[in-house]
Amino acid sequence: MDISFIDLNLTSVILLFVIGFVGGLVSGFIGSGGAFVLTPAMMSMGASAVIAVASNMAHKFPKALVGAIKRRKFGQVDVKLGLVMGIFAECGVFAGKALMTHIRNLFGDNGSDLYVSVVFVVVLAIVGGFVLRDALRMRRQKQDTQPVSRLARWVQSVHIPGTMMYFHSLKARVSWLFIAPLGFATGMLAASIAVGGFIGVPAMIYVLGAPALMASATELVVAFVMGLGGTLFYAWDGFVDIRLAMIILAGSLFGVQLGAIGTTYVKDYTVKLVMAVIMLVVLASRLFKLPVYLANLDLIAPLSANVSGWLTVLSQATLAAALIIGATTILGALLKGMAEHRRRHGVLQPVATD
Amino acid sequence: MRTLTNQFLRHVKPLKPEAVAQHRALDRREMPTTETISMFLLAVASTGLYGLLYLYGNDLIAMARSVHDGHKTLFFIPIVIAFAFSLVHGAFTGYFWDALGLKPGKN
Repeated sequence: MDISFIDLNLTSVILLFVIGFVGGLVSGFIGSGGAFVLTPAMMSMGASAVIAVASNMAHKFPKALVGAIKRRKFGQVDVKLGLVMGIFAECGVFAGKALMTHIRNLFGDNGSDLYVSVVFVVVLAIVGGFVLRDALRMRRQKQDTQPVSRLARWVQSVHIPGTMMYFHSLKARVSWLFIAPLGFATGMLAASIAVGGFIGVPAMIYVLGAPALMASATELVVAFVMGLGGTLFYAWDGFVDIRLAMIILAGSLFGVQLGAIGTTYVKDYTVKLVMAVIMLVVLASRLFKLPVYLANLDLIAPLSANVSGWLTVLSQATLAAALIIGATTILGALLKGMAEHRRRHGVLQPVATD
Repeated sequence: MRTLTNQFLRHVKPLKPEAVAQHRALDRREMPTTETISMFLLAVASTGLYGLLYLYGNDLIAMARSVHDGHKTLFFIPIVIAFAFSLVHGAFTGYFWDALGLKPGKN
């Protein structure tokens, strides 16, 4: 079977660059994001789904690598935890892909679309709602960093001989048997909705006990491992459109550096707040699309072409809005943090003696 | 001339030691020449890489098609390209924000 690659023009190049920049900004800040807009954007330009996913993967791992190196300089990355989680996440990606293929074979494209949307809605509603509540509570109580959760304290207290590993982000020894299912779920989610970090980052915070800033930075290592494995997988079949991937990378490397710098000016809860807001707006976008998939599978009364078209446009617009809201919040936090930093340190006002 | 200068300096309030330290810190924040040169070299290298991508874009697509058709020898080329771009363009973007004064803060 032949594969078709799209022709690029100036408009599409600029659009990919800009989306790449905004996606990179969000990624550099919360450890993941951007992918959920890039794949539909490439598809709307005419790329087939498999080429859009493969090219997205090929831009994701170098972006995650650059972001991880940058944030490691700030002392925020736990490479060991990222690698251990990344290996299990890779297994999750393959299992997730197999599950997606199985669902597609059984119920067709509408079935797999419905599966993806249900996963989106359930995961984002539960995790997004929890992260938002937690971020708002920390903000109200003016807490800079969050105390380790009760669940994380229990996980850190369990000793399983032969499986214990020390992680500096947790300042504790944890059995890799706890990390394995978290990594696996992160990979499964990445294979389904392209943003594994929506599970990976909250899991590191609430289940393992990592600070939010370190969890979001470590997620970049997980994304690198997953992205590299996924790219090898797709490149073996010649599905990677390297032109598309590198154009997106051009913008996203500017964004990821800026997002990483942004984390050094904010408090722990800001990372959680941005993440929760993005998750909940993405959730809304999937809710708009859900009736279309249900109608296509004859599970509800059929929708007119007009209604179906409008719901699709509304869903895509909300996805774009999620990214724009996230980027605006990050830029706002960065500028505010820089202004406060300058005011506190007052480096610009020389002090004269009397 | 020296007398005039000394007379002028008598009217200028000397800076406190901490202010002097602050000014020195500010001076250090100014981008040294080597960093500026590195940034421009990396910008040129990055532009060169994107120029090559533009020139050989069709060949890369033909290669992907060939891999898809079963000639797997060059399947790893996209990975090598992605690493090369991330190293060069990634380093350039780092210097770029630095040059604009966007440096990491307290955390």
